[in-house]
Amino acid sequence: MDKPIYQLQSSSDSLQFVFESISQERIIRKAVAYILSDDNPDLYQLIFGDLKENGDIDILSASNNNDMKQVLTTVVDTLSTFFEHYPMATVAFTGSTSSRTRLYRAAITQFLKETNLYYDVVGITENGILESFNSKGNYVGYLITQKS
Amino acid sequence: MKTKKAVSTYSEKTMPYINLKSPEIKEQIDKMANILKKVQLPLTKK
Repeated sequence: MDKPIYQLQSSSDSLQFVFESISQERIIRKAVAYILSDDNPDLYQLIFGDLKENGDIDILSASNNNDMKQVLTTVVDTLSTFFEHYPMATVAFTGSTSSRTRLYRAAITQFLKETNLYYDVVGITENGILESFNSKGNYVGYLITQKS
Repeated sequence: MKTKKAVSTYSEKTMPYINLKSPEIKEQIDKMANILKKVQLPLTKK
């Protein structure tokens, strides 16, 4: 992606990532984690939020650090590293709130503009119907796979 | 043939501890699981 992203730290298994959201006012540590599903060996859930001192991820915080676009770009950038290691995986995610799920839709729209050669994204409707991602669609969650 | 996109920059710093067992994370995982329960198609990639 040609958008600015923050420098990432990655766990050796490429399932956890950390970066710092930096503004003139403060630095906020962010975490991204891909958590393997108990039910499906190829399904991982993407979790993202502020990393607290005790190691918890605060998925509800609104940091307002004036860098939302760069933060989201950095989060979606972790997908490329993740899929390098888990090419057959499906990544599922939803927002911690409805408004965040909609916010992620905007991020995915941008993400696909730059990476649709590499990834397939489907939206999950309220009724559990999967449809090819549409930037105007109303989704409760998303699934991403790497194109083979 | 696909070419790899721009390379991310990675720090060599040690990864901090991340607690993935917190109630907040569990709640989020359960929320996604409930969404996926409604999905009829298999999610495994062919």
